[in-house]
Amino acid sequence: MEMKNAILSSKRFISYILIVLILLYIASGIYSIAQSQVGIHQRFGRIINPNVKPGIHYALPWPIDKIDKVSVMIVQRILINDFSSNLEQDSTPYVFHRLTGLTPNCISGDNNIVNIICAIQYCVSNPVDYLFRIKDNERLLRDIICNSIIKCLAALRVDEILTYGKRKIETMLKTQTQEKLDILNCGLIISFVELRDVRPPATVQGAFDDVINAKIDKRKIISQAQSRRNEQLPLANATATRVIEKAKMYKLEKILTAHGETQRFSKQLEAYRKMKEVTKKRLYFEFAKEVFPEIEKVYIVDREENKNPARVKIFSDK
Amino acid sequence: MKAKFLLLIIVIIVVGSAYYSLFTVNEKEFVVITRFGKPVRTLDKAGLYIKRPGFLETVNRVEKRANVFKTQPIQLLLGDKNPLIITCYVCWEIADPLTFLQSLTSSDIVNQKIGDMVNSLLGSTLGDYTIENIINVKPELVKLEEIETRILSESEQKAIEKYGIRIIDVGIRRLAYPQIVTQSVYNRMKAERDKEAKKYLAEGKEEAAKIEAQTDKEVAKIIAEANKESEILKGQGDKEAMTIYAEAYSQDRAFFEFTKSLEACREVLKDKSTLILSTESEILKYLKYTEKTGE
Repeated sequence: MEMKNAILSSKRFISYILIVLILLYIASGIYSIAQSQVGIHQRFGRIINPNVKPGIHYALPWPIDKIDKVSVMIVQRILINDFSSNLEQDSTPYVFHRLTGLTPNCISGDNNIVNIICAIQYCVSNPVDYLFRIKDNERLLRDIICNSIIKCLAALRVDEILTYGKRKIETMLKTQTQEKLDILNCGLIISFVELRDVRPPATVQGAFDDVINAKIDKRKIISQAQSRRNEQLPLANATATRVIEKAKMYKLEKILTAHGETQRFSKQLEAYRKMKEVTKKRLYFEFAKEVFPEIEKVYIVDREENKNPARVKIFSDK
Repeated sequence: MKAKFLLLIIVIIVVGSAYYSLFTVNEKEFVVITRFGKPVRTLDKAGLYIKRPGFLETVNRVEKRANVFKTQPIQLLLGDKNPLIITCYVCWEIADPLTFLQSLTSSDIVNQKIGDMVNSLLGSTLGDYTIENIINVKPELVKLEEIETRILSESEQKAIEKYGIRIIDVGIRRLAYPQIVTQSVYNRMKAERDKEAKKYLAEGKEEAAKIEAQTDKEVAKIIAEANKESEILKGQGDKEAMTIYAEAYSQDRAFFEFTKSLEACREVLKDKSTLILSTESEILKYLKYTEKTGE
């Protein structure tokens, strides 16, 4: 009886365990998708829901259903240094260098050599394509962007590449690469392309610097000429003003003098008209009184009737 | 008890045969079913499938996703004998799993074969182009896109027939000059930059000279204008003064002459001048008279 009981209870125990195991198995289908992720729900390998939203979900347990999670919101970045002389071990430029003995670089449309490093930011736009279309998405992205760089630079002048064309190149790279990615259904979207370092090769860097210095010198020479001009023009204006002011003074003086003299003349004339002879004489004597003392020598000649030469008497106090 | 045992055996058989004959195909692969090495079915849709159990039929899984690889760098001559080193990337996928399985069986080998094919196509294709078609400041003359398209279309057919793969994309991955050309390019770059630097300096000097000439011109003009205005002003002054004089003096000509002559004499008779006066002159008239009379 006891034996029977023991068997019964152990049987019950085993069946409990079995039930728990079955429950656990069923519960193993519960899964969660994080905020930045998208889940792809597959049943026997076939996709039945390509877009499982974030949250807690249930799928049939293994081996029936399978969930692949893809981070879609997270921005990833890669550095394209395929065209730089930075030969780090095992980098693509290093491999190229080992194979060919050449320093990696890029060729511009006007046959100049430039080194270029560019950074790319991208994220997954289509999780299904991302997982099931291409085996190595990042590698393909790298290849395509390199291809775009080559094509882009092959049609541009080196000056544009090195200086004002950077924005344009970035935009071109972004659109060209994205077009290609879309054609190949890569499932990636490029959010940002940035040219990090664009420079001529080290051996010719000096010559490029010289050009920059020459530009600065050019501006300096011109600004010196400008500043001389800025000095000379006000100086000339000042001289001009002085000349004109002088002329104005001359004019004023002339007119005032004329007024003064003519007024004096008018007064004299007035007097003269009243008593003609007297005024005339008075003026004459005044003149003589004023002038004669200044004169060094005055000869007085007395002309006797019908006698020549005249006798000369000198009276002078000098 | 016996029935129970029988049921267990049936279950085991069912589960076992299910295990050995059911299989899934996922989205990343093709499956080719072979019966003792002989292909019988190709499955290109994902899902659950049944086959003959165990060794009777074999499941061969083939990658469905596209593959990408780089070709070996190759140095070749353009149509104008310019040497160029080129590397390409090739993106391909399996289009015909059966042909693929039968021909090669490994994607590494495919990479190598396709790489060789692309390289030999590059060699023959680039002979039709010159360096002007590879790099040019006029974008419409750059034929890289065309070259890629040609290589893609020419390799496509061969690849699908021979290996059962479809080439999706071929693109130039790297363009470079051989060492010796690179050196001459560097030298030319240097020469060009030197020229440019000199050009900037010359431009600066020219500009400065222009500014100076302009300045001199403007200074001269300012001074000349000022002189002109000053002469005009002086002229005006003279004229106005003359008008005033004329108006006043015209009142009495004789008196004017008299006063003016006095003034003139005042100017003329200064120090060190000698004056000879007649006793008959106005000022001495009375003096003489006194002498005569003895007073």
